[in-house]
Amino acid sequence: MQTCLNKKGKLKNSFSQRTIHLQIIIFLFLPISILCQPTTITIHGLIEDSASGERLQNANIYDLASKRGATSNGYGLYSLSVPSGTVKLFVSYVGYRSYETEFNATNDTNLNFSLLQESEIKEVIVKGSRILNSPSGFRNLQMKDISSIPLLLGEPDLMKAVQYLPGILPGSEGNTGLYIRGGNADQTLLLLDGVNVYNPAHLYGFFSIFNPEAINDIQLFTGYIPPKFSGRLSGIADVRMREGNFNKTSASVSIGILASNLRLEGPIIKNKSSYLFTARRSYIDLFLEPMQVHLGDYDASGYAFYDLNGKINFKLSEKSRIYISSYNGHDNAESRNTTLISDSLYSINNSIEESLSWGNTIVNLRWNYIISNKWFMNAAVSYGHYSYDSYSKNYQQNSFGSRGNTNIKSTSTTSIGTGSTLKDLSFKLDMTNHISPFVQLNWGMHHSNGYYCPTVRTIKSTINSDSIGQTHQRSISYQIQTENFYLEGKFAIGEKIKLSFGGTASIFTNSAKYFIMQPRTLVEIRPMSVLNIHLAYSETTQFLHTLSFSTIQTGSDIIVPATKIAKPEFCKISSLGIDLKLIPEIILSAEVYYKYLNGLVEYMEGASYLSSDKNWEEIITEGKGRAYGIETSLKKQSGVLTVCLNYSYSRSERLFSKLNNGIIFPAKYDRPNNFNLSLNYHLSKKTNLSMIWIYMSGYVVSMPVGYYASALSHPIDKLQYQFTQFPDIEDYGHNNHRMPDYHRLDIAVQYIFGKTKLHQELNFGIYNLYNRQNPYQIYYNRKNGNSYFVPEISGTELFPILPYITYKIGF
Amino acid sequence: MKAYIRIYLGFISISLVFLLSCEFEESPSVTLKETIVSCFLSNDSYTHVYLSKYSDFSDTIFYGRENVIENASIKISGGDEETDSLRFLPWGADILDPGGYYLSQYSIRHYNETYHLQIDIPGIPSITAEDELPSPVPIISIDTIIIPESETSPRTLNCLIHFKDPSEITNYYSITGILLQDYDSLKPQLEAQIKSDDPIIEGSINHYRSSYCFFSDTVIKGKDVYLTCSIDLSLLSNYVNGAIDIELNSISHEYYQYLHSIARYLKAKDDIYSEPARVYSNIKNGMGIFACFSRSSKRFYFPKEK
Repeated sequence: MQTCLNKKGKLKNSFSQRTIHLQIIIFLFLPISILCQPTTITIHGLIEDSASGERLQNANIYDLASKRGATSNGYGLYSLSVPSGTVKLFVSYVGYRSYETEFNATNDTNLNFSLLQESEIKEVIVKGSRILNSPSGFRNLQMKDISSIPLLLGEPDLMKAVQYLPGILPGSEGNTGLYIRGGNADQTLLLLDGVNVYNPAHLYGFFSIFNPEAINDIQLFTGYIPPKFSGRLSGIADVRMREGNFNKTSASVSIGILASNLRLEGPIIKNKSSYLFTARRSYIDLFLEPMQVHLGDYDASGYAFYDLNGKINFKLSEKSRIYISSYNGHDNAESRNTTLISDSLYSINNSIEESLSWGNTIVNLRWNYIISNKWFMNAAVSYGHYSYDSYSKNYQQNSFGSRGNTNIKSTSTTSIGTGSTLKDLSFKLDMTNHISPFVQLNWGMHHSNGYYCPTVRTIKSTINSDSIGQTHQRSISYQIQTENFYLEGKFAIGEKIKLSFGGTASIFTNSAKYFIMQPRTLVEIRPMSVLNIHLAYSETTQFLHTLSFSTIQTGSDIIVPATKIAKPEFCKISSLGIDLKLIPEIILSAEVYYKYLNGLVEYMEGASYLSSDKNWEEIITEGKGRAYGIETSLKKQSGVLTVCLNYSYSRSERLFSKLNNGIIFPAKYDRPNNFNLSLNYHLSKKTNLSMIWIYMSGYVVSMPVGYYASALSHPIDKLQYQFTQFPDIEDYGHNNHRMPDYHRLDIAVQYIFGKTKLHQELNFGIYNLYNRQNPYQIYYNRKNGNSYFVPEISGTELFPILPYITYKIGF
Repeated sequence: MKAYIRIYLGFISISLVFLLSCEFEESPSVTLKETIVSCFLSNDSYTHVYLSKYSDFSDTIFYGRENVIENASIKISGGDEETDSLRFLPWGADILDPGGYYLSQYSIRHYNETYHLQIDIPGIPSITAEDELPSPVPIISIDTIIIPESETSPRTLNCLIHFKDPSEITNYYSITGILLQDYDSLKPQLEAQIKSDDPIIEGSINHYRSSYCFFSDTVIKGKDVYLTCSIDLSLLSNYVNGAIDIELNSISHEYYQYLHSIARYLKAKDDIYSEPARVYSNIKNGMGIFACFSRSSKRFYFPKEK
């Protein structure tokens, strides 16, 4: 709920008010139901990996006697309240052997579980009835699960794998951005160990910064967004790093086509502390260098990226643990292009040098503390830094005169340098309180101090070494403060209904101060053991905007904070979904959603990347949007053959009064139909075959729709007619042209071999097996005839059929 | 299995109700744009209407007479005035006039009157537009100085235009210069390149034969204004009798918006890093512009050098 809205907003405001009132009533009356419950005890503890000692999050623990269950939190901790007496616990986690134990409990009990990992490839058996217990729009993806998915150049990439999930779309081909339910990529909050990542891209976005060797899993929230997360409109992607092995030292090296990877981990003090270190570097530049020697001095280009991940864990006591995690990564691209045109009378030497670099640095210090068997605390201090720099220099030398006898020489140079910086220092406190078997309270706060400097631009021009103009434009820098306070209550009403509701209060201070309430509600009903119905409503806000020029593919994006002019973005998401177990192990899911977005910003018509005289606030325009759709999936997750079939129909539209003549237009990545089918066949204990077929509607681009002749102004003389006709005004549509549909088939074979101590893995695959020419960009042009123009559309394709092979060795 | 199908169909039905109950905002309907209209109505001259066809992106685009619409019936009306029916002037009617446009019968119009344009073309809905003719704002004085040609700049006329902005209403202006190469004979006139660094100027157009600076009275409302500008005289020969007309046009809001959009469009067209820009249109069932303006001008003579 936004405190100050326009006339139209008042209507929506009253709706939000009603939502809050309803929540207050529920809060007041629920304790009565809680008091009526019988005597209970609490079983709490940790669920860990027995080999490495790493904590397992989202592991299931279920009391078969009382039919009550719980899930371990992000730090592997669980708390389950059951009636005193005989307890029959069943602990399960995907990829691990499930564990069952029975005992008599009369008091609160601390019980830790160490689960054994299934060795080698083995069919996954998922037991228990908790399979349908997934809240609206929540998905969890383990890093180890994606190693067998065929991916571009064989680089296992978390973000690419996530894009196969229903409701999540990629941008253009190869892009790592997550476009959740019609939102933009910047509307997805990307967290690495709880720290905000502003740009998750390596290699212009073709790969993500998340090193597969360092990552444990990703949790996605696309429907109901728990109040502990705030700051983005569309969804949350919470990426967790691995903790490192507490029991033994291990290492691995993997060699791919694009990059190589090193992982090192082990105990510092056995069972007390552990470390994890990973390093990855690309070698495109190493391949390009010999080719450039062949080309001579005229053309050269290079590209390199690296990333380093580190994590240290200390068990201070059974109740207290400290984590220090860090990430540092950088991309650097350079190119030089020289052309020489010469004649007997003149020569022109033109040289263009360009460079582009960006990188993220993240440090996080976190403390987990179990205050009691019902209280858990997580406190974290983190620092994030993102920087981006680009430089372009155009040098031209003109020489006139007969060859060898140059008479006139002139040189001109134009250089443009652009840079931006974002820094973020934040403190976070999360508290969990298991009040009773039926009530859990989550509450906490998040304070953040940010520094935003969206653009620093320098433009220099010289002729014959004399400076003819220099513009040094430093856009305004912003010191911002954000405070978020949240409260969430989770209530179980009987065995069939679960309620989660609460909200976040956000205070944002920049040139203007905003106070925004965001209520969140989730209702889960299970009328039958095979059917789960969930209804969710979330309001979200974000205090930053990402501005992109549609005419520039990469490098022009700037991240700017909300100001007095560019107000915060605001969103309301409603969703309704069902999960239906058709036959054992086959689940049909469907979810329908509607999303209303407000405060969106885009560049105005005619705004230019090179305009140096205006600040970004002067060239933006504000609008709104809506997205709606239905997502369906059919999954068979166990047995020798696993199948996943996803289809979604979704639309995402925008309405800006100053764009497209005020007519609704589709968002850039509005792709109505999305379908993917993935099959995974466990041929043997060591061999795995997989394939995925993807089909998507094309995205939209702005193209001229037509041309016309019009007068620029009135005739210059009142007696004679001399209309100044401007012969070809291009009439543009905004995102009016849909690219051809996108589809491709990828296959992969994974073979695991080697002795017990030396683990070896060979992956072979083919990306785009039937060599579909999916257009990446299209251009329009017109051939000029004598008195006419002939239109021409051309395009470029990015990835043809691409086989790959990767090898990994580890101990 | 039947129960599951029922559950699933029930969900789909609820989903449809869910989506239909959501808020959908209306946006303006898409306008017809087969016909392009260019018409500027002034206080002191015959009105010309140029009608042409819109070319779809996939069409081959022809310049010139192939695109002109010749079978239209055009009427201009306003206030108590008699409706003015325009006639089509065919191509090549005069050696100095290429023709291919519609010409009005009357040349005198009334200030502060709203004029309506109606175009009827067989087979398509009537095309209409309207605009109000603003009162002219007289030029009080113009001080000039000629800057001789140098290595870095051509011969230039620097001007200081003095006028008073009427305070009662919101006014919009454009300034331009017209060179008369030889006022003794009927030599073609040329539009002069006009520039101004004056802070009140909001935009300018310098394209092909058009050169305009335009502004609103946002910062000069009701004030005496001294506007500086410079006009390139390089096209004016030293050896014939030359003259220059400096015009201060009082333009309508429609005209002002059109000039703004043209300036933005031209800038964006030459800049590969720019967002595309559209040109403003106030034509119903068509595209283009129908705008009114009133002229105030002063002429300066440059006798030929002996």
